[in-house]
Amino acid sequence: MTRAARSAVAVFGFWILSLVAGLLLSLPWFSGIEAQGVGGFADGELVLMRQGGAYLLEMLRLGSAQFQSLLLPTVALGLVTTFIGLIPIAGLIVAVVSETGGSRSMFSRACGHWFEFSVLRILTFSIQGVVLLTAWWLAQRPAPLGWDIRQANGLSLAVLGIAGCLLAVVGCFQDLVRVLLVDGHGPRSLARLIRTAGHVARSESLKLLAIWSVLAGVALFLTGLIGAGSLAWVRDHTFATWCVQQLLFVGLILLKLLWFSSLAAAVARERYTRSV
Amino acid sequence: MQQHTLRSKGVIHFTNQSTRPLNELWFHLYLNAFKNNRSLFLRNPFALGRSGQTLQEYGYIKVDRLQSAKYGSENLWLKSSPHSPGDPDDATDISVPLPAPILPGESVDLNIEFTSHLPPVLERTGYAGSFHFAGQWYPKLAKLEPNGHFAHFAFHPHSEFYADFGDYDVRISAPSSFTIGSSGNRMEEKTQKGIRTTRFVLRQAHDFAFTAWDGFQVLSEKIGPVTVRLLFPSWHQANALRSLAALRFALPYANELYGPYPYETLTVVHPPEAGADTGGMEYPGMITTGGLWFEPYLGSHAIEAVTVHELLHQWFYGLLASNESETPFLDEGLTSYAETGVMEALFGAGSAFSGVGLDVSVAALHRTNAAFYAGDENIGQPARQFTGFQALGGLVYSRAATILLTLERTWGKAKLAAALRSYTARFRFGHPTPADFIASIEQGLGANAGQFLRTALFERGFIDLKVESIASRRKPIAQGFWTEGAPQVSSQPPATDRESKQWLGRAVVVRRGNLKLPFDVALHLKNGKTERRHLDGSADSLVIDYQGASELSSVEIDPDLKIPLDQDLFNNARAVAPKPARRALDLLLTFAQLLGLGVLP
Repeated sequence: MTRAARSAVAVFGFWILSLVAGLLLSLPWFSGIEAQGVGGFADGELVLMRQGGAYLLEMLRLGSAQFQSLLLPTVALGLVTTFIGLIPIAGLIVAVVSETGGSRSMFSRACGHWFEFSVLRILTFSIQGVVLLTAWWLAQRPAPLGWDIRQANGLSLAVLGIAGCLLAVVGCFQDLVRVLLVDGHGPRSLARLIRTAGHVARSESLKLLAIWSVLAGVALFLTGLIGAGSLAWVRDHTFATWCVQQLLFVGLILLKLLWFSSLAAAVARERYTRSV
Repeated sequence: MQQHTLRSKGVIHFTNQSTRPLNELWFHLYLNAFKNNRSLFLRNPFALGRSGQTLQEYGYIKVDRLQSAKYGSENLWLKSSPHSPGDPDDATDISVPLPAPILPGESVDLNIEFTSHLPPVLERTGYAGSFHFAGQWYPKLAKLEPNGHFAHFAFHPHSEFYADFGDYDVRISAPSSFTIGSSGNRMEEKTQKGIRTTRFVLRQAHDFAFTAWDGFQVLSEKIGPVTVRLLFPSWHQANALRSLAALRFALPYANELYGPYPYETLTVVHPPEAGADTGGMEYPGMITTGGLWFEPYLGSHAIEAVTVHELLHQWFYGLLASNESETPFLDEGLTSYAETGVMEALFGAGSAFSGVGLDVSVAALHRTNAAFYAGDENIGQPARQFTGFQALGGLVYSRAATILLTLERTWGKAKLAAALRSYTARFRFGHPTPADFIASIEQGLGANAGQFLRTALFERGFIDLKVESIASRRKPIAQGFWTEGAPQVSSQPPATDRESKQWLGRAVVVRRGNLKLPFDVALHLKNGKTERRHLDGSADSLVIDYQGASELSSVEIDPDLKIPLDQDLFNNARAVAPKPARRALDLLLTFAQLLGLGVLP
């Protein structure tokens, strides 16, 4: 199986998982909306979009207890799908770093990395959580006396912005370590793993930053398109519009694949440089 | 300014306009609500007022001297009651016995000296740094009713105010770096040794407030004959401009609907964040707004809504000075209703929020808030009797507004507008009661509207319309025996019934609650057409039968939402075969997928 074919299978698998996870997460909420009786109206759930928002607010009022009871299970389910989702992520990386193998071996290799990816994910979540909480705490602190509210809010926004950058850096570093873990030539001890990741980050940081920025920009644009499109298309919803949205999702997964390819190339370059 | 203390002296020219001699005067010392944590206002930690906050420092008002030439040099205040009636911990409702009665029609000049110490900003008054807002800062004579009784009450956290109309001539001195904003017209200013004294005159008003801050920016504009003076922190310029734009529309609009605005000046104050609790309040000739500095960029019209709401209080409170303590719905309910009209005229369906493909109206927000408290308490009860400020807000503001919206949509906007115009004209510079208001509505809209209001306001009025069931089937083909002239018996039905292409449909509609309103029912047919039926709404339940060429698909009560008071909007419709909510599923799925992809990296 060629690398392109493996990649296509990995992207498809990722999309299927996002669809299944999305359905699992959204179906209880969907049932909550249907239970309000929107189906009894001639215009169905479009009643929620009637001018003035009275029916939308009514749904939130009448369904508030049900929706509140769904919050915790949704978060729990979200966490579970996040960890199950590590398999298709590993699949994407396996697809771009492997020289040979079919879809079955790709899947088994991806499953084989699930545990270490999970540990890595917990570690990353913990660091990101600390960064977020610290930033939130700093942003909530009173501004220096004599500052006007714009300066105070600007400082808070700057703190949150810096935290956002840190979250992205930690996330990127996680991806790099993932690639190193999947890469057959990767180091076997934690210390060497971190050292190698550090080397790659140092020697390739500018290139990676440039690639990440472009990919993140495109991803943001696609996300905005999907989100805004969903709302805009609610009134004229058809199967075709749904297909367009799903194609955009596939686009997002392809961006992820490109990112992993860039990381794999950076790792290979670094290994070559060190060997020379 | 650093001590946050106002030292004041003045003259109250008082005329006994009642029919009885007065042996005592009653003063409201509202600022004493913040004197200690045992005052009626602060004593109950579970029943705090609008802000829900507590005080760290306290404020008070102390009358040093009350004297009148009629009574010689005697300081009348020395004999004043030490506390509110029957409440030794509260000093907001004080009586002063008079050595000799003031006869009907007699006038006296009362010389008064007092000290007001402002608390940190809480409930619309106080200081925050160098920002000062003086509301209810002076000893305020209780409203003298025509029968010679003073309408006096201790200051309750749910309550607002009630007073007689009078003329105010006030000189305020403050460091010259401070900008003063107040009710009334600025007459003259003079500065001596760094202290600027400004004179303000306000005629035919029942309150006077002012603000002083060395951080205000000032913007003035003439809207018709009225000079609008906006005071705001520099970083709220975008908000101030939005307030001004709203006023350019709302002031002439309200003049047209409710009679001309009575003063030459309207001062609009947008307080800084530290003094935000002084925002969203009305005084004659002066209003305060509020909101976050970045709000204009988020699609919300909250700044305009609060500006319009407080402006409309110039009529429903300012000019029609009802007793806010006894019947708060008369000012807040009518103002909230009027606000929905102005905001809708200004912004259409998205009068509260417009963005991301959604429109939310002020009316919809009121309807939803009202539904939370439906039937819990009487809207027409005194402010102090509400179980909490949330309930008061839901009922007095939102439910009263929704009742009037129901009246407007059921009886007609033009009719209600005419009735309100007549009410505002008749009681301009007066003190209307609920009976006056209902009588005006009854006169304009008829006895049913009056009865509807009485039930809705004073009998915990409630209505929930519901489609109990729906059924549809083909009209059965006639079978059996038909007699066509004895003794012949035919087994053939009449020719027209032999092959039925007709459909029958039946819906059962029920009305719960004690409110009776006419309403429409839409019968939606499978061929896309709709039949409308108009029902008078008097029956508790009724059957709607349909016969036609197309199958009955669904039934919807009140499709135009003429009865926003209806408790549950989702039981208003029922379909023979409910439609699957595919769009909702797609939307949810999309966001769940986005969330999944966003979390996974």
